[in-house]
Amino acid sequence: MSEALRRSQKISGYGFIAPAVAIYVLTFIFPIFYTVFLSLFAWRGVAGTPMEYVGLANYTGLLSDSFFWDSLENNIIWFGLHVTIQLSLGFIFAVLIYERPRGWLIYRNAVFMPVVISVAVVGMMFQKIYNPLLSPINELGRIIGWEWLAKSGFLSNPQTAIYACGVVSLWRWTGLTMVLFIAGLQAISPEMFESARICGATRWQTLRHVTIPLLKPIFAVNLVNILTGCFQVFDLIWVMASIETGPPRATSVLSTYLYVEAFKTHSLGVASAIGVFELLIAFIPVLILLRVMKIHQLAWR
Amino acid sequence: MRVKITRNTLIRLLTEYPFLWLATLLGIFPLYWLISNSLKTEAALFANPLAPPSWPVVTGNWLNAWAGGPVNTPLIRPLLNSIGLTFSAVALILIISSAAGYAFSRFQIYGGNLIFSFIIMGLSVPIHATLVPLVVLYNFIGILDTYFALLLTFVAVNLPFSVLLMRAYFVSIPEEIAESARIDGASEVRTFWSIMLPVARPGLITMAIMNFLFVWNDFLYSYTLVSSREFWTLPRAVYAFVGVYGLFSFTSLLAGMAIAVAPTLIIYFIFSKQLISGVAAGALKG
Repeated sequence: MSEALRRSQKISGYGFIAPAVAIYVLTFIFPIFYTVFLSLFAWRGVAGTPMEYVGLANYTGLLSDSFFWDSLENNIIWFGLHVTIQLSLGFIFAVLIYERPRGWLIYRNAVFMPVVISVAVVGMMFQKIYNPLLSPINELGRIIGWEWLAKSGFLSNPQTAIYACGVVSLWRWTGLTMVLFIAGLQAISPEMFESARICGATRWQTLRHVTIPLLKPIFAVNLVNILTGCFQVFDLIWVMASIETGPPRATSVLSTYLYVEAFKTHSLGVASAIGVFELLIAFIPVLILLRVMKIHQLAWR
Repeated sequence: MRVKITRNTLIRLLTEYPFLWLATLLGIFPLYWLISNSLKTEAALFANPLAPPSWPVVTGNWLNAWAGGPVNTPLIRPLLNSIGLTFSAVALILIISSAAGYAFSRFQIYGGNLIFSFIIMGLSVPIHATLVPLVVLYNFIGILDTYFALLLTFVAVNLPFSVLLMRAYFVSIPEEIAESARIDGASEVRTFWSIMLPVARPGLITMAIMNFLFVWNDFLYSYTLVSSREFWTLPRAVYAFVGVYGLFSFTSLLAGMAIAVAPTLIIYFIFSKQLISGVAAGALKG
């Protein structure tokens, strides 16, 4: 490569990345540092009082705030629900549909369809479906004569509300997990299954000793997706289980609590402290990803 | 042997198919519920929410929702906002991230790898963690409550993923293709625009699909960054209907949601194959 060409490449290289870098600095780098900065202040926003430095008070305040802990707990419940049911259902659907039984396109498209719909609209729709007067679940209760089932409002009962929302989220997202598993299954060479069959392996044995080990990277990708998604859930809970001032304790999660603190009670410092906490949690998937890359390298070797 | 096969087939017929059909039913049911009930009178809805609408269907709910009902926000403006924002955001992301992805894959940039990994780290930044600073920033530069606030944020949020995807795509294209263009005396920009971009079309389509879904379905940002009705997107406008429930018939509310869902469903029915493979490719590469 000539020196002139190399120089021209260098210059245009910077030109090519400049817009992306500029936007990134403006909307990622700056906000991250600014969140950390704001979390050390008491501030009620631009129109309010001037900033007042409070040190770590926002953080210690959060640690003794039971609403914050309940929100975190709901996030963890949410994650538990998804990591078990979404992952296993998605996997089962993928394994069944991958074998192309009669009508597989119908099954695949029906399970994936919710993934393309706006989460906010999904939430509004299910909020109406859960109405005890209309819900098919309550209808079922009336038919078989179970009074408790006929009368219960799963969304209004604080004991069940977070699970009621979770079911909706599972409905919305399982198709994505399934599609990723199907893509993973298609990447496995058919000879693998063929040789397992010739060796006389049963379907279960093939699944256990061939499919699942080979799909390990896909499991990891799905796990990271679910982990990131579950700690970022906002739209669904906000539209399904919130009143004017935000979701009650039973359904509050970190992101909705952050939103309430920032835009309803106007405590930008506290909101920023929650944001920093979310940033720290977000490093967990990064660590998992690093592990996965090691798995990939092992697979290559 | 023969007995065994039939027994296996029987087991599959009795377990797998009912399971798959149940899943299909559960996948479709909520949308059936929404659309069929939006075509009924309120009385018919409360009489039996599961029954299909009687013929002729009630179109008044859809017209009522389309006209904006009691919130007085006809849905035409939010629909056009959604379309316009989605198209411009996706176009911008395509250009910006493919240029950056190309540069990261080909050019000697001082600290290029470091900059690239910094941008990739953005993938793990929770979108709420940067929300407060963004509002303060946008307020400071005077774009809060404008289209620019939404556009810039949509581009930004999808940037790390898109750059990663495009870089991976350009890495897989043989260097000789760009080389031959350079020998013909094409400039770097020209090589990129008229040689590399067309070659990278499948990658661009994957990325466009992923970004389309994100931008079109966004609720958080149009709820936070804009407050004036003129900038509302479709999901945001329909959410306003929920707020005034009581002034608005239940069935009209459902019709509003159906209107918000309809465009994505139509696109899904036409492009389901591309959508599914695009989403899978995008998520697995990213």
